[in-house]
Amino acid sequence: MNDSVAESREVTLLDLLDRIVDHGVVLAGDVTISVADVDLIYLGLRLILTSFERAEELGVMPPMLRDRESSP
Amino acid sequence: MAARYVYAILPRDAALPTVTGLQSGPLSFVPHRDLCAATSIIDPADVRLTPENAVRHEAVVEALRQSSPALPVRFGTVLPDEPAVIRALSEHYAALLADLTRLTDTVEYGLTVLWEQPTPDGEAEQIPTNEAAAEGDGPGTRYLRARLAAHRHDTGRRERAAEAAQALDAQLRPAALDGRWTIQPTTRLAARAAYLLQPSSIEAFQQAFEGARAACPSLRPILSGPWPPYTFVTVREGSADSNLSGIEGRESRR
Repeated sequence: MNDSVAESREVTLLDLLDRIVDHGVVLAGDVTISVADVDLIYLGLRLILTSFERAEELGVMPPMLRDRESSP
Repeated sequence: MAARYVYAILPRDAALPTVTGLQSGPLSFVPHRDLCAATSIIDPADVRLTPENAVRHEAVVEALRQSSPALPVRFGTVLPDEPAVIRALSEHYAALLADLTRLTDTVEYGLTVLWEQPTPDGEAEQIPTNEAAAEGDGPGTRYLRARLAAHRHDTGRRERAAEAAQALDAQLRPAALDGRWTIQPTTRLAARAAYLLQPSSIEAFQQAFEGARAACPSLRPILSGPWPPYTFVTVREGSADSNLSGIEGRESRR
């Protein structure tokens, strides 16, 4: 995996986490998730890359996410 | 009664996909009037933000959207039981229905703009020293000079990031229904954006992206998508920036 592809995949998983944690419909009720009080954008792309690779190892990456990068 | 994890809000006549949710729980719909919530029974104590759960949540949302419009719900939304889900749908019914009608099958694309040549780590330590100590300055004055230099450096970087965002947005916005920018630059990241598109405009938007990238050689924009329109739902917490549209800075939530 070259640096460009790796970087793109880092960004894709970062995009996923940012969307599902910080956006989307919020209903009345308790959001029971406990997330460390940091802005995900600043966690560091390297950390996210590790998580992305782990998700691939587990075979839980949906096709649309796996094929989502649009940059070379 | 069992707690319910909520993935998305759909029209009542939506088809139930053959996909499992978090903790391998089977999906079921909780209906209310013309809407329903896609849910699965969950153990609330085990809802953690892990890559596996994040991807599973997204996989369910995308499976639902294969055959029906669906509003994606924020990760970690757990309600104590089915009546609580119905109460939530009732409380937000008009807004949810309006969002579903407005967003239908629209998609979202994410834009991450990296600086082409990020400065090395420790950029703050390379601030020009002409702001540093003058002869005779005491330690307090030296500290304040250094703080002033750092502030000017950060301000300059934010201004450059805003200029980059405006240049890119000028080329991308005509092909989109809406766009939202977040400008919180770091040494590596200039800005991020989300664009809302009709499916029929995806090709034109991608062409606009290629043009924008060619026109801004000092930047490295990365496009991702299509995503469900997480950024453009209106049924959200009442944050100050929940309805930002366009290019504005935003305080991060900490």
